[in-house]
Amino acid sequence: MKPWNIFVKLSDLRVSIVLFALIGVLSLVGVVNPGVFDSPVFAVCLYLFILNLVACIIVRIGRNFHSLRTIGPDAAGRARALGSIVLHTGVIFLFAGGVASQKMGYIRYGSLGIGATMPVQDRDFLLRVDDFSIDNNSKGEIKDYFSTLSIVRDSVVLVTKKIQVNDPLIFEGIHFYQSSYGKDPYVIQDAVLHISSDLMAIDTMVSVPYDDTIALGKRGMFVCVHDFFGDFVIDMKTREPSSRSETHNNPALKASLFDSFGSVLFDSWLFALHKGFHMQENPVVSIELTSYTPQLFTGIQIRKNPGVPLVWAGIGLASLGLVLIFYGPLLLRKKKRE
Amino acid sequence: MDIQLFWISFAAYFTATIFHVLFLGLNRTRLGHVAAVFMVAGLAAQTAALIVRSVHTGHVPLTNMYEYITMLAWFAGAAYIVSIFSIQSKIVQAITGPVIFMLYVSASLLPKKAEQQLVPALQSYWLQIHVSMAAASEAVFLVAFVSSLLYLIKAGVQQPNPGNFISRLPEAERLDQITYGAIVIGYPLFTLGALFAGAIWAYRAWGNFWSWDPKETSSLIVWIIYSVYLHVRLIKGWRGRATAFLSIAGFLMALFTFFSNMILGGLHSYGN
Repeated sequence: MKPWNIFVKLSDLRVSIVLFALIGVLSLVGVVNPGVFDSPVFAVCLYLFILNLVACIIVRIGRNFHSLRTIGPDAAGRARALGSIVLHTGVIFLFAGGVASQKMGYIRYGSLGIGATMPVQDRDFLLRVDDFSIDNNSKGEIKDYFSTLSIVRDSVVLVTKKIQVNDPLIFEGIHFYQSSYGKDPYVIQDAVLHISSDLMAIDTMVSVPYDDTIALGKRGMFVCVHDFFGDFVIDMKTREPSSRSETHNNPALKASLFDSFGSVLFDSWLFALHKGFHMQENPVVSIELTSYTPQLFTGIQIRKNPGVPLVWAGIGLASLGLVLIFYGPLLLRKKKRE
Repeated sequence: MDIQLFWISFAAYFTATIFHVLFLGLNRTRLGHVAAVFMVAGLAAQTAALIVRSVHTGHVPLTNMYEYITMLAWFAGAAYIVSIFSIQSKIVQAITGPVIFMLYVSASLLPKKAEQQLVPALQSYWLQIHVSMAAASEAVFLVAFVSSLLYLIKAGVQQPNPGNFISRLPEAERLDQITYGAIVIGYPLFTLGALFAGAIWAYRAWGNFWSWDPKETSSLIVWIIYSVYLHVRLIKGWRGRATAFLSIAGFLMALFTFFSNMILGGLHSYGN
């Protein structure tokens, strides 16, 4: 069979309809079972569809080559024929872009606190979070959230940008998106403790930086907070604490109070939601966790998307093709009337 | 205030529906005229409602199901007004009008709270471009759906009784043309607005043009159905029953697309 005839067979509309139907039915199944989209059957259908499109374009160009070049009375028909070729070419570019991103790209996620860095795959630079902030409206609702990101190579800052949803940082083909934010389940900024003791005549509120020790007045005592768990749970057999989830459903931390000789006066878990409760036996002082400042992290999505230029070209070509097919004849008719 | 205007337009569309039904039953042209007047009044009140809501919230009302469905009804109402002059068939209007009222009934059942604070992902000018073009294209597909249904009724009865509803329908060929004309308007709008503008926005907000999200996938199926319609009609010259069924399938799939995120969740579940 001659190559031209192979193209003609492949470009048959019946082949296109069958492939359209197969892709449509598989997509419908994929709406409830997304695993279909990763299946070889779906991939084969898509590749056959592209083959069919390529054959269509070649056959159309072959058949319309002369009529597309000559200026004749059927300008509207030519606009449609040209538009059809451009539209089909655009769809092929869209597909090629998708395949390029899927085969050569990647997606990574990072949950980073302020000051944290993260290496970027395939690149010799680091991503650093310089700042994270949440913008609230007058009602206290979240308006937007922002991360200030820096790209650092060999301790040199190459670029800095404040990103938000819908406005990513793009550097050397890598996209950094503001994806989410949250409270760190294992670290806080500081805790406010209410320390009281009738015996020692103390009744004070003190803000203690996390994992740090501060002096308590002039009495020579020291207090520290440590081992925070956002969703505290304790294994009753091993007595090992852990966090049941990444949320702050049951925030708890350990507070330790020492006298001037370093002897432990208090060392127990404190709970933000159960203020009076602690696990210290016969305490000489009472300590309550009044409040705490969570350590926020920013969720950054890092994407390498090498198919983007092809997708842009595809969208541009397909849009131009649509305009030529559906509005070209109208514009030509209007021009003719004028 | 916008809710009061919504109910005023609801009442106008409801009254128009009564007159449309009376027109279908009694075949009095004047009843069709009165129905059209109430449709215009309903559209005017609905336009005012949309403007008031936009001013109140600070953004075009396209961010939840209630707002989307009322916008869809507005575009369908606009298509109805255009059809008064272009199609000039009171029967087609008498069928389209009650369908628009049905959209309004479904909107009336949805929560109507106006959100002044949009979630960050929706704070983009792509919201207006993507959603309004999708709503406009689906409103035009609704016209194609109605004319396809009427085509099947008209073509299914060879010799209707003179004076009855079927005999007063436009010729089958004319209904087929109306369907084709509507799809020719809706298809590029849908491709550019629902698919391409949506893909560009998804790329800016989520980092990916396409995610096989339920709404995206079902939109792709809608696009496939109308693509098949145009291919078989323009290349193979198919007309009539087969293309009417494709047009109906396309709109039913568009309806499924509309509700898919309510049932299946996904990235488009902002305004459920």
